[in-house]
Amino acid sequence: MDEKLFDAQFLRKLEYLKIVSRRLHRGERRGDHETYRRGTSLEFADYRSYQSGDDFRYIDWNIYSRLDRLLVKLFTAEEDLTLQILLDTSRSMSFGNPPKSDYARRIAAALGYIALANLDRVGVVTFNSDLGDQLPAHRSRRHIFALFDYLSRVRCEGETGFNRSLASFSLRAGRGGRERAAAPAAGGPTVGPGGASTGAAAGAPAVVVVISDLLDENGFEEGLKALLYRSKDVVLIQVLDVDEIDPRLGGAYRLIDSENGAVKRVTVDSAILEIYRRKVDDFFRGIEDFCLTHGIEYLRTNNQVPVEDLVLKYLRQGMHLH
Amino acid sequence: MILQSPLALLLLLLIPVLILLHAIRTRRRDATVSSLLLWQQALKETGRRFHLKRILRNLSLLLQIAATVLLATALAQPAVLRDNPEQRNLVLIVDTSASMKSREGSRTRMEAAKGIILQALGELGEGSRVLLIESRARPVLRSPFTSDRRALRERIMNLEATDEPGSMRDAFLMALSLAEAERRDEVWIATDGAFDPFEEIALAGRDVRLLETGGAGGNVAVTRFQFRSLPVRSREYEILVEVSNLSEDPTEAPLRLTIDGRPYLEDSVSLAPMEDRILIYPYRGLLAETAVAELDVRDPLPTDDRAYAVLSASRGIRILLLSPGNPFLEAALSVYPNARVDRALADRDYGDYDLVVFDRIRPPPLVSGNYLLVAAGAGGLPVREIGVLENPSIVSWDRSHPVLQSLTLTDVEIRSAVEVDVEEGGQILIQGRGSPLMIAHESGRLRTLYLAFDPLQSDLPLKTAFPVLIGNIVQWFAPGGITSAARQVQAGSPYAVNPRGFKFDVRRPDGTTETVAPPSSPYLYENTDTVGIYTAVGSEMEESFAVNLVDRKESDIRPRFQIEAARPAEAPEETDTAKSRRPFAFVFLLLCLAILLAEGVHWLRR
Repeated sequence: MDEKLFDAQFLRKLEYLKIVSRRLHRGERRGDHETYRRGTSLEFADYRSYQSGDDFRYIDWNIYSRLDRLLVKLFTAEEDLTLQILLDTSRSMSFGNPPKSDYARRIAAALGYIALANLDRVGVVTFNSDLGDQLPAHRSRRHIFALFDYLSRVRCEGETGFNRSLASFSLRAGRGGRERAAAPAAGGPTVGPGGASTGAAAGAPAVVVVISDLLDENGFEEGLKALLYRSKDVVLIQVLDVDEIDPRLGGAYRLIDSENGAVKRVTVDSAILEIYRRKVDDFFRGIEDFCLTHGIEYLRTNNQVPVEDLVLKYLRQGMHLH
Repeated sequence: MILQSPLALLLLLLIPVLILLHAIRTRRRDATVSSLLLWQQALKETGRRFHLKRILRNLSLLLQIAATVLLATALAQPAVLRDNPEQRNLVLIVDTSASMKSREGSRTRMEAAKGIILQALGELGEGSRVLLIESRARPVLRSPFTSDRRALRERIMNLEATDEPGSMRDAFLMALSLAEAERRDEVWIATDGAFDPFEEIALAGRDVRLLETGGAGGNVAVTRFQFRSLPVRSREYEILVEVSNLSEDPTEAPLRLTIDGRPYLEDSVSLAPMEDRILIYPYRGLLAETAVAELDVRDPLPTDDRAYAVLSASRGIRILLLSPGNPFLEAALSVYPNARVDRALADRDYGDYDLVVFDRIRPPPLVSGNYLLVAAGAGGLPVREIGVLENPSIVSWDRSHPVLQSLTLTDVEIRSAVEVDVEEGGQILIQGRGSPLMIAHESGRLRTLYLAFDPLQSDLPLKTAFPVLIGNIVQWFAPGGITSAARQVQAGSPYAVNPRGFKFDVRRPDGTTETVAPPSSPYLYENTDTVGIYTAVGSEMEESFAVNLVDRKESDIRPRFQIEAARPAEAPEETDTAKSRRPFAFVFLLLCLAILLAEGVHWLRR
């Protein structure tokens, strides 16, 4: 474990937290979480009209005899949860003090730790201009070491391709789902010991936590929509540096983009700072509106908020912990 | 407030240049940001709306703009117009020409003019400044701008009318040159108006005020009085007298001519209104001392009723010819009855001679005196002989120089001449092909004329130009020395005296004596403001000359100039002549300097 990322006291606090999903997802294995998949449990959920291909065993013949209609009984099934963490590793994430990437990795490690402690599957995928390396989802407690090791090796490079990366992830998840239906054992590389769900990590129903600064000139909406198309339960955590929210600049500058080296000449004064702050507020409001509209949990933080406070307070308020 | 030089505001065009320079030269620090996304959005909004403001927040730029504005304003010469008619600057021209001596009633025009002047000056405020110019043959500045009323009054009261003809135009131009046009200093002219209008006074327009004195009056005057010798008869002369009736009435003017104190003739001249009559009388005999033509009339201006002439020089001129023999030159010099030519072959004392001719004889170093050097070098003169030139034809000559007037040298053939190099101080009068042929030089009391060729080596002595040239030369060295015409000048004009010492006295017609130390010879005696006989008395010299008015225009004492008539018919302007302009450009200059100082401090602290 990377001692720099978490201390022991922080880890002990995380032990008591448990990630839940507001939605119910189907899982590969039975777990503590309800899904909408009408499963094999004895808890009745609902009826629906028979459709071609439904299992005859679930047709309520009594109703058919009374109503002359074929209805299928639906049962809820308790299944496990997969937490997929999409971690932005573009060069802009290395900005800040402490770097936003360190802060993001701590959040990712904390969420992963909590999920693994509650026997959920945890996988991590990095992205910058496109998807990068991934840590396949596992549900073993021993997987925590692999998770931390993976996170400690993450390097920030390249430009941000938020939409493209998330679309690729969604596409891979969909393909993985179909592949799993045909060959459940097929998948990507296995990292760490224990029963790995390889390519299925992306394709499995999961809570997808996206950690990024969202500073992509091409926007973020299409990427998040792509995740939602795959019925993902999406949590968006935006990590920013305080200087990005409230720059402490004054005078004439050549502003250099940390990702592409683009230069912008600007003379910073109170007027332009005021406009900048207004643009930041507009930016935040746009994200909030989008997430509210599309049912995405959105959390915004900066690198000066202690990670433990974020996890213990903000995530609790976000109702993904109980 | 008015701007007296509004074109200076063009300097304000520097302001955009300053802004551009500051926009270009801004030194920027590098700062790495995570992303330019939000900055670009902010800059899109600020790009146009705040760019200028941002630049203008540059303190250094603001100071420079302010300094530019102040400098431009200062150069535009801002001034305020003040309704203060009492305080103004004016140039006062007082006519002291001969016509101002005209007596009208119990006093002369000059005396009347003084009263008018002092009354007009009394209307001025205490702060007004007056510059005083006396208008006579040549304008004289009597007082610079002064607000000292007592001194000014004293100077005005000391002014007296002269016997000189006036030159109001020259005085007026001098006044305009000394007045400040931008401030529109006024020009006041105290005159009797007895001069012809001139266009400049009309152009000056409304800044001129006439303090007019005198009225209409007739006058009879001797307007010409000349002697000339008859060329073919010895000791026979003609006397020319012109009498003018410058009045609206016919008159009978008795004329009396006195020569050497003895009455020569009396005549009576009947003159119609505005008639000029020329009378010529023969005279036979020796040249006398003086001649006086006098009209026995009673008119307002007695100055021009008498004219004087000095008919002979006291001793003639003396010429020393140092030559191995030159019959042409000797003959040319000996032709003048007033000239005495001494001949010698070697150096001798030539300090008493009006002209010394070195004909092919090298002279000693020359310090003072008049010398004609014929093909003979002279140490200390700006002429250096460097060789001999064969057949140097004459290319050009200075026709305006007195030595070369009234002659032509086009067909003169020269066999050989001394090739010379003329240094600074020498004036080339005749330019030959390849070398100058005649060089004049004047320095203090030394006057030389260098002829680079021997007349015997040319056909010049056979030309009619030769005696003319010799006559011009002698006349140039000793003005009036060889002519038998009367020695007289017009009042106000200089008379050339040939002093033989370093000091001489001039006895003036009023009985006073003036001592003169001439810096050169001939010397131009200029203080000829009174009609009469002047006598210059010095070491071995006594020379008299006459000074006359003899100016028909000046003798016409009727006012001919009306200032209103001289002004062009122009639409009345909104007058600000009653307003004084008070410039305050220095305030802007001081502010500009202060701002530049602040800019310097700001720059040092940056």
